[in-house]
Amino acid sequence: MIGRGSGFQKRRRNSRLIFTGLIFLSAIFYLASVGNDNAFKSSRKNVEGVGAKILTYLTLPVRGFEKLIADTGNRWNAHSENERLKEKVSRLSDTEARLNDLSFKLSRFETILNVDVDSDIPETKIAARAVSENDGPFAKTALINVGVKQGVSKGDAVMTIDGLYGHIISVGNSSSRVLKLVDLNSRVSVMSKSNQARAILIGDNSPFPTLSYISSQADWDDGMTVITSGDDGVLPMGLPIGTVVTENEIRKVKLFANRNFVDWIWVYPYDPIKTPEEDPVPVDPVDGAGMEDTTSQETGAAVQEDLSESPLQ
Amino acid sequence: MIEPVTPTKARNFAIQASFAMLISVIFASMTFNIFGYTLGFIFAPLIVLFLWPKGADPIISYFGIFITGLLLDILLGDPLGGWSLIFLPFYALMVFFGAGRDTGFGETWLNFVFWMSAFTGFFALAKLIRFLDVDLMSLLKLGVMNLVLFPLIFYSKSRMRRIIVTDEGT
Repeated sequence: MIGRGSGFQKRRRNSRLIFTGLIFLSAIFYLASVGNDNAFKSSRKNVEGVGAKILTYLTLPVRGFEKLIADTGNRWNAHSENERLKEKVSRLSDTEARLNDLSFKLSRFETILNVDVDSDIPETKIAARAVSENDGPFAKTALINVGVKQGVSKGDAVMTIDGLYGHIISVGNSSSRVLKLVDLNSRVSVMSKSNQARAILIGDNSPFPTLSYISSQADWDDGMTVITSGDDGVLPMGLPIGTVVTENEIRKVKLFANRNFVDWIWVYPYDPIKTPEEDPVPVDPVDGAGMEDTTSQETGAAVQEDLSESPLQ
Repeated sequence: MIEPVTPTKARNFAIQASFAMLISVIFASMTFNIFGYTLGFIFAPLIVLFLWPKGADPIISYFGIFITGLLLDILLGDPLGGWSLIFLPFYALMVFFGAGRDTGFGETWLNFVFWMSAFTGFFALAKLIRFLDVDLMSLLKLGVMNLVLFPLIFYSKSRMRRIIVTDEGT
């Protein structure tokens, strides 16, 4: 039995020492990792990888139960839903025919004008499951069960069936962490689909992120569709995000991916545009001159030549 | 009066509580979507801390809380050490003030309401002094969810103790 003797006193002293030591250690860990993504990176990734695997299995019955409830609701509304969908299909078949016609015309114009208007949105996408979604008071992140092995890399866009959900902030071998658009640290350059007005979408831990850095000339109105602008060079252009809503004279965005039930998501692997410093032209071993110099000289010459032939002169 | 606890029993109490803490941490990192509502239980480990067995070996308890706190940081993507920094002092305070020693459920639950309010108040204060940027609404939601979850863990604990812990402390 634990008595009140010297052994008890010693143990009590030791426990106090250990308590103080662990508090101190926690504080060191905290200070080292706050605002520093690289702190304890490899250890975190290993634990996250194992955690993602465990959570994938643990969440299976939970997701099954959720699906059962959702299915029951769907069956309840099946008849009215069927009618609505039939009407939508008949409407969309007309739209599809018009779209095909426009698409054909567009490709013809592209050929005639010799322009490259390929979409930035990658054609390949990686399906994943959000095994743990943190909707807590601090970060708004999600752990997904795909990583480097599946071709995911930092910065990749993450979509739900409805729209942009967030982007990858850290990648492990078989797991990744997604920073949701609503997170306080989320910053995405966006534009209006209708008039290309630019802004930065800033997360504020509320369900509706704020549109900031709006230019005074920009014309943003409620109901406008917001898409990624690709100006940040991180996310591809054209990913659907949401629609503009005004709250207390502040422009906000109602996200397309605002549904509570997020299970399957898609990662869009995308190679961002590299800066010239990141992607230097190899130096020519013969004369030691960088290729870019030659190119710029040639380009300059070509421009001068063009100007000399210009009818304006 | 505090019942004397054998060293073996004290160690077993601490190991079992640490294991319960581990389960609560995994549970805390999951979300549940029922009828269009997302339910999160990030504060669930606080219930385990509150119901931590009295007389549990303090050294093992501290290490258990510290490690599970780190695990929660990793699973939630929060800065490492943050949750340990919150859990350890709260556990020490709870032990100091004898939290969770009430006999009846009603009394224990009311006591927990006080501790949960203190916990939520701590985060609100951290926001007020701009140390942490937390969303107060989700904080409130998580606090209420924890109060609803409390009876389940309370009854599971007494049932599990009857199965696992015998008088010999095995």
